[in-house]
Amino acid sequence: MVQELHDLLGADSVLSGVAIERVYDCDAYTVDRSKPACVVLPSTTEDVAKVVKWCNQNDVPFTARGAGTGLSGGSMPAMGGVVIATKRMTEILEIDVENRCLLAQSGAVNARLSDSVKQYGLHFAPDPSSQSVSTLGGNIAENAGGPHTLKYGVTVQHILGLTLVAPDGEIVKLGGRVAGGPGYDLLALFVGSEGTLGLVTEAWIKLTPLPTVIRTILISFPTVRAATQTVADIIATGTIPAALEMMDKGILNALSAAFGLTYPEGTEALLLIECDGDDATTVDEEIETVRKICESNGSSSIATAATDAERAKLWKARKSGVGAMGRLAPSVVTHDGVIPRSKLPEMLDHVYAVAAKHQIGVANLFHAGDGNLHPCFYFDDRDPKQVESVVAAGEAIIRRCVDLGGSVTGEHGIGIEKSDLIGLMFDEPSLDLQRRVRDAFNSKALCNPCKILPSQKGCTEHKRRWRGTAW
Amino acid sequence: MVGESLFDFKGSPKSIEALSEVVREASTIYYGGFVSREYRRPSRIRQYAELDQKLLLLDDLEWLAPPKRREEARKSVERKIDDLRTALGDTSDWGNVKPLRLRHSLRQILSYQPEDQVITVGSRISIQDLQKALAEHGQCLPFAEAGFYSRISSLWTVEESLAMNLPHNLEAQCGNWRDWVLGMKVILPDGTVVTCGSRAVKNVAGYDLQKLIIGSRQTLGIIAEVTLRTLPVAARPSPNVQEFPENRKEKWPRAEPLWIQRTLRTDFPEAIKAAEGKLLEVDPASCTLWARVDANNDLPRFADDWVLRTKCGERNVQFTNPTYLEFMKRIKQVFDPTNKLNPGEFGF
Repeated sequence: MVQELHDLLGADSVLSGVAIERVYDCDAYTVDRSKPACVVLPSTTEDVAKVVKWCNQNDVPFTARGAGTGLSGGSMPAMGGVVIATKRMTEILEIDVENRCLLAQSGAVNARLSDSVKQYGLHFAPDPSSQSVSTLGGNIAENAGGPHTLKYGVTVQHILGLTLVAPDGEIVKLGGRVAGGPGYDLLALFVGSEGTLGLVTEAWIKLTPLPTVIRTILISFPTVRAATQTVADIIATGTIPAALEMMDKGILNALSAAFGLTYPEGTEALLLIECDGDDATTVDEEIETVRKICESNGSSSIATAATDAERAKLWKARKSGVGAMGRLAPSVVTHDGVIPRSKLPEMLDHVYAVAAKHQIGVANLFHAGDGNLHPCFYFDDRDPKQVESVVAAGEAIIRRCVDLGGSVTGEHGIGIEKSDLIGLMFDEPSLDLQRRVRDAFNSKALCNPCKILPSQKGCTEHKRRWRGTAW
Repeated sequence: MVGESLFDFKGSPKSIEALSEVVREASTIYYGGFVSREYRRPSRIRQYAELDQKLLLLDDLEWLAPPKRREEARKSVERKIDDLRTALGDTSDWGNVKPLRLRHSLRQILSYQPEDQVITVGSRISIQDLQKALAEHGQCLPFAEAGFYSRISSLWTVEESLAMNLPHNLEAQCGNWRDWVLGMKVILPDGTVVTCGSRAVKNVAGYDLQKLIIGSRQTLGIIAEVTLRTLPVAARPSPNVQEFPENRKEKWPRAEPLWIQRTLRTDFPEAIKAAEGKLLEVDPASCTLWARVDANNDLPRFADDWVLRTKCGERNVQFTNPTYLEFMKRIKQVFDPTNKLNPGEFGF
């Protein structure tokens, strides 16, 4: 296999060996792992098409991978085979300032896209917390969100056109630089399909004007319930902040340990709230409304950013949260579930109760404005019992999300992690329709196999092998 | 055989289950008074009658009309059916052809959580009724109030409006149905009821099939229930639409042969210039124009633009990217393998 791929792409574009297997056997979801046979590093769409055609000719599974920051095992090579990594596909190919769009290869890093057009007063709005490393292709595959999606929407709303290599190796272009259009919304089908309908190699993305007025406040609460009630109250008033993020004591402890950040005594939860726009009066009114709601719920201190530097400082807590948790345990699993926002107070109570029952540590930092929870369990993945507890606790939380009218995933995707849980949301006829849509484009099931849908042929047996094999 | 107890010539299916039975029994369904090209053609209807196909003609014009115009619309539907009767002879000769004035009872508000800005409705609710219910809680669907042509679909039912997903003049600021619909229940052509999406405001579980159905012109399934996210009225911006009433020829927007075009920002001034004298409306924010152009004429096309037309038969929708068309056919094959729903609507 390796020699044939060498012949296709050149020797320096194919990686294999024990170290490679170890590096590429999972993404940021580390509970399940599976080794690739080899990893290829294409530079162009044509390179990707060559590899995919070769895989088809030889019945070898293939899985795309960006930066490996995915949190549901989406880029884990479940059936082995070839990992197609986009690390060399990082070019920004065209910036069209007048039409507010940009063409980039799928391996381009999210933050770089915004950095490249900041001088024109524009940005790429989706901002997953991994944005300093995660790639455009990964964001598209998972339909990534981020703190500011509350106001600006998720990735699908910012993708205008795609070049992709279909599962049979054909190069396909969909959409262009103009949004919308008649016919079935194929872009929306491919965005968020977790790399199971093809490999995105290039994309035209929409650029959004940067707001000229931004107000950011960090608010401390004496109880978690006061903070969650504040979120529910803000949403109920009809105010739509640009971001409405929550962090609990667990995260604050990790941040203190990692970065020496300090918080007022008695703080059990923080809310980071940002309002933006182009009219200072309107934005100020919004932030004032928010401030009053916080005070009515007993907020104990408020920090306001007066400059960009101060704003960056307030965001540091939020953006560094998961990284800081590395101080608490060898492994972290960041869960992802969605509930109606009015149910946040009771849901958080449930999260703490579940963690206590399973005797594992939990910290919460999440997109409260969307009702998008991220309970982070920290544990030692060398202990099979702890791994089992984490999986069981995650399932208990996700089940409650669905019971409350929410979703099993808001932005991380189903991947491997939740392929057994998607059935909580969809009955068999609905899943069967999804299966048939997948098969219409990925009939040989070679393209990122075993993802999204439950009980796939040949995947169950492998699944037993994946789980709990860490190190 | 379609159960007569479920509906009659003037009746309606009364539940999702009843509607799904009607759908399952039919061989071909032309659905939606506005969107179908063929169902008013008596010759085609006669073909179905001769083949004894179970054809349903579902017409909902009566319920698409504003309340004050409903009686007039009801008469119009009856006139259409009378026309068919005249063309084809007495209904006893129609075989299994069943004209059905569709007013299934799925037009209630099924649940509404203003505090979460989420509402679930039966798909046949009129947008006006929906807006009225939302307004009581200071919320709305962000369709524009102004603009004669760009708010056509805000005068319809939720189902038809999202099935067409026409551009509107707050689209650049507030999105369209693909941004507002969180989930739906859909009756597939074989009568199976499926769930797409969810009721959560943020959800990436599985394939986004509800987005495929939005804009599919009732060719993939019949939408029964819809869950929507709502917007505070205070957050709805004012549209910056320019109207050209002097170019209007018809009293009703549906009567105009419309040319709806969206271009790149850089091409938009030239597109407007080219449509001079024919322009009906312009939305600079989304670079969309509405013009009065009949089937025998065209306006210039521009890079990456798209055009949507009405009253132009086969030229209503044309796809220039063959791969796009091929992929659409694959999806149609999955949802509707016997091509039962609105056949020919997209040229297949």
